[in-house]
Amino acid sequence: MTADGPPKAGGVAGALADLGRAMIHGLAWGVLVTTMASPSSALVAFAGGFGGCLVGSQLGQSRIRTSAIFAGAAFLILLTAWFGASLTHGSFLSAAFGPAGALRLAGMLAALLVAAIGSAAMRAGSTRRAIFSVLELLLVVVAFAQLFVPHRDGAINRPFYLADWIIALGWDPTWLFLFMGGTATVFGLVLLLREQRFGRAVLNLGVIGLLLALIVLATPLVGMPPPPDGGGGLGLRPEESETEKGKGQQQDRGGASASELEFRDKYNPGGARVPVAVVLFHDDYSPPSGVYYFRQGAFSQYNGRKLVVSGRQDVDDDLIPYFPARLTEIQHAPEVNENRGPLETTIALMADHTQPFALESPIEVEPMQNPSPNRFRRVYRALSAVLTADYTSMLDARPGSSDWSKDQWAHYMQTPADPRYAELAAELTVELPNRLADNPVAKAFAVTGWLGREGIYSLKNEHSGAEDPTASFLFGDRTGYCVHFSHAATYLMRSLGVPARVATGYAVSESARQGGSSLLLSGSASHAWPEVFLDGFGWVVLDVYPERALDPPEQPMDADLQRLLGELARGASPIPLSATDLPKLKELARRISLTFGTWVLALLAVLLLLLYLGKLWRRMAPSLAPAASLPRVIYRAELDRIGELEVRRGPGESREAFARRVRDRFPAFEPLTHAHLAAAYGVHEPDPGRLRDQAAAVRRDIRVGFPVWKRFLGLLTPWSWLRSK
Amino acid sequence: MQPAIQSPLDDSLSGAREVSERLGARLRAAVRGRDEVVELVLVALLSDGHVLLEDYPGSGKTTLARALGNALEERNGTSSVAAFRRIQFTPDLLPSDITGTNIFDVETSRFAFRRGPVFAHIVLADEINRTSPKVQAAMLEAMAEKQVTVDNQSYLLDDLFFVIATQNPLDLAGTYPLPTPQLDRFLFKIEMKHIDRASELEVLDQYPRASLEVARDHPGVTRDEILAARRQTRGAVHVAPVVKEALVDLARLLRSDSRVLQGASTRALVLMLPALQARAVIHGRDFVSPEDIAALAPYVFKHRLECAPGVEDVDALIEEATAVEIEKLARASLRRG
Repeated sequence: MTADGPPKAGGVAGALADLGRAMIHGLAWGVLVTTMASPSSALVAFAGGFGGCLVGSQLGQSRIRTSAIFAGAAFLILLTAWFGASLTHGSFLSAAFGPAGALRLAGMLAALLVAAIGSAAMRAGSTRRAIFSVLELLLVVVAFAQLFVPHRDGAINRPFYLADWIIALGWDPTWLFLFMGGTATVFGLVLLLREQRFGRAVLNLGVIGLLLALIVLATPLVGMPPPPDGGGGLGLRPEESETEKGKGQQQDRGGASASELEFRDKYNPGGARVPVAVVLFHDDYSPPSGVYYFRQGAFSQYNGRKLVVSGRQDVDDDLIPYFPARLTEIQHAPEVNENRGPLETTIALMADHTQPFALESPIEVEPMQNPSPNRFRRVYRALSAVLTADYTSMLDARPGSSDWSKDQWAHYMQTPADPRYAELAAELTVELPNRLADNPVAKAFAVTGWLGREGIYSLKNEHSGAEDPTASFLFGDRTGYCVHFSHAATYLMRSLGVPARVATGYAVSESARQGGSSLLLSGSASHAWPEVFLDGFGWVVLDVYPERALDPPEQPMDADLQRLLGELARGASPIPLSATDLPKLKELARRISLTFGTWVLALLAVLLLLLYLGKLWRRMAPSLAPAASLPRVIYRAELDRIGELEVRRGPGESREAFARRVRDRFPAFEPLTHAHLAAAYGVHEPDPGRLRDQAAAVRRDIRVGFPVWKRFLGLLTPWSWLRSK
Repeated sequence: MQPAIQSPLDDSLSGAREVSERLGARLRAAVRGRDEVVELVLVALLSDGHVLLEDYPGSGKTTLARALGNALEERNGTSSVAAFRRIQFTPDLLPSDITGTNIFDVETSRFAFRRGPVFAHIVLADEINRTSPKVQAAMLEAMAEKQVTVDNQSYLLDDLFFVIATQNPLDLAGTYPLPTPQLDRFLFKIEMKHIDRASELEVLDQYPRASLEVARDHPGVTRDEILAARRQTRGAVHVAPVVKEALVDLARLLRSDSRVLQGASTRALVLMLPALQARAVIHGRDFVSPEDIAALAPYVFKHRLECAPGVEDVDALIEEATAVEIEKLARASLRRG
């Protein structure tokens, strides 16, 4: 019997076992790639893993050195990466298949090769040494576990179909994912059952246990992010206490307009960084304001307290009314002229939205096939007529449209009865130079400029209880957030005779694109802004930019995540995830501030763990070691056992002398010593079976000669193995 | 007591092992309570080295040497070389007394060489320090070169030429102590201590049978068997590189010790290597183990070291250095490689 050879399964059973193992490899690779690339890549990765595993089995029985196999695999993977990169950069493939096709092809090729090489190396290593079967196991468990582990705020892979179902049933999805992680380990166990050696099985079980513990520990720690909630509400949830107190009309969350922006005293920004959508720009575009505005809805109807969505059919008809089922043109979209140019974008939603949104102002929208149903709820393409003209060119434009009826004009001129709005509006337009004194557009600019200088941005304010929250804001402490600013600006503009409204959606600074073609929208990008209607321009965003803010500035979204999701929305293969996770870990580590004592304790715990691991390793080595080093590790393991009982070789005492000294207590130790010495200094091949028998005899001596408590105490001592020489 | 065979010996070694066992049993029967000395003598015999015994009168050295000679004699009656000779070294001894001399044969009118007592398999050189340096030199030449030179004519000694020399540690008046370079010719210098009570009683219990008679109950060995055992031992006992390294390191460690004026020579190490192999065979191994070094080092090094004045305990000094090397070897054996 070879000590470490692969289990010899004969004939059909052996072939079936090999096939099963290859299937597991293929599945693992397929699942691993699914979350990162297109389905075709996943299929190819499955094939790669399957083939690689079969090749690896043969490789393991060849005469090539294990280290050479691993070095070769690493080299080949590097080569593949280089080849893939040069393939996409080169012009040949692009010419043949088009840029997207070339990307996809390169991705598939990379997936196939990496899976095949990785599987072959792992399988070959595993046939040689038990320790490498851990790699195999890790591949399988990680592949399945990562499928169910929500990471990056649930943006990368969130099995909506499962999580939503569980949430709908009112259960905590955390436990579902824990269960899933457990299921993943079953696949590991399948591999494990193929192992016939006890030591290997114990080692693999240990790895599985460790993984399970990690999953159980890590999931509550990181927590499941709440399901993203798109479209308005600032992506923010009202403070729990506020809803409990029930402040009148603010309890409208359950209705159809649950996403409506509201006046609130305080927003809880929890989950604000959860990505809700990714926008892919088909062309470069730099807005004159420096901010991309994605309009979703508009408030133009005054209801006596605030502006709300109008129920009229003939107003705000430049919005996308519903998710399109086919190519839909927007009724009253602004014309493409010298002021507005066409721009195409693809929008992939990661959270449910009640209404589609697009870069202002959309001309047509078209639904798209979802390239990744795991990640995106809905994908559509929008053609927008984006503002290209300078703001100064608007000064000559007339507010409002000549096509509007009187009713429409009146609709956009509604203001609260409070006369202070008109007074304030008149007051702050006085500063305008004479040339522009009568220019309504200049007056509107004056309003936003004044609000920007005088207002203070804060998510915390005290206006929601007032009869007219806008008045409370504008004539009070002027502290509020976008809803306050946009309402105030709209009322002031309307009092100056400029048709205005509050638009809602997402606003993201141009810099957030960070040079890429994709833009990630998170809950915190939700925004409300004032707009005015100018003839020849359509609805133009005239946002207020408060110079003072009480809240800390937003952190930019993760650039890698943004790029990755953009690539996914495009349907091309993305960059691997693991490399981009590091900064996040660093941030986490910085956040964990432990006192000195805790650090010392943690250090001690780690030290203790390492000591026990060392002890365990030396004890288990006999069942893992190759035949050549078997005498050494078996002797070492038994020496450790004897050392635990405080029986140790003296300094300068030879091994035989030691064995003779303890002969009366451990008679079986002497032959084992001789076997060890024969292997260390002689030339003969040791007989593994006999060695194991000798080791068992030593263990018998220990059981017979020492009381249980003493043996147990020895077992507990973590450093005993350090002292056995 | 011999340990049981622990590792299967090479077939090529089983002969050597068997010879050493047979001879050991016979010698132990003849000399009670001297197992250690018997083993060392066997080691020296198998490794073609000579032994210097330092002991008291009546401690069994002659018995040991004779038993060895007798064991050979048994099946060797026809040999032209005597199995055993004893030379009592006295101040008036001449070199020709031990080497032999040319004698004029009247009948043939020629000088014929008459062999001296060194033409034997086993030679007991009793009280070697009592004779003049001239004689000592002749004896040592015979030991080193396995030949004697008389009137510019060299005569080869038998391959199995084994010398057990003795000297009395006390009573040094009128002696010529052997200088260190000459001591270097001896593989071992063995200091014998009085045997223990039980062994001494055993000796008395044997009375009236002489110990040599008792030994005759055990089978002997032939010269050719011993020579074959020597060849087998040299050829088939494995000396691991680490063991050789330890040996060299041990010698260097001793040389660098400030208490040592002159350390052991390289020749000492060359002689020690077959001795280690021989000991391995006697202990049923086909490889040299660190234990062999530990066991033989005191006997190999003690008479070769010249210590600084005031250093009394040479044994402790050697033991210290040996312990260092043994510890190094023991730790290394647990590591991979």
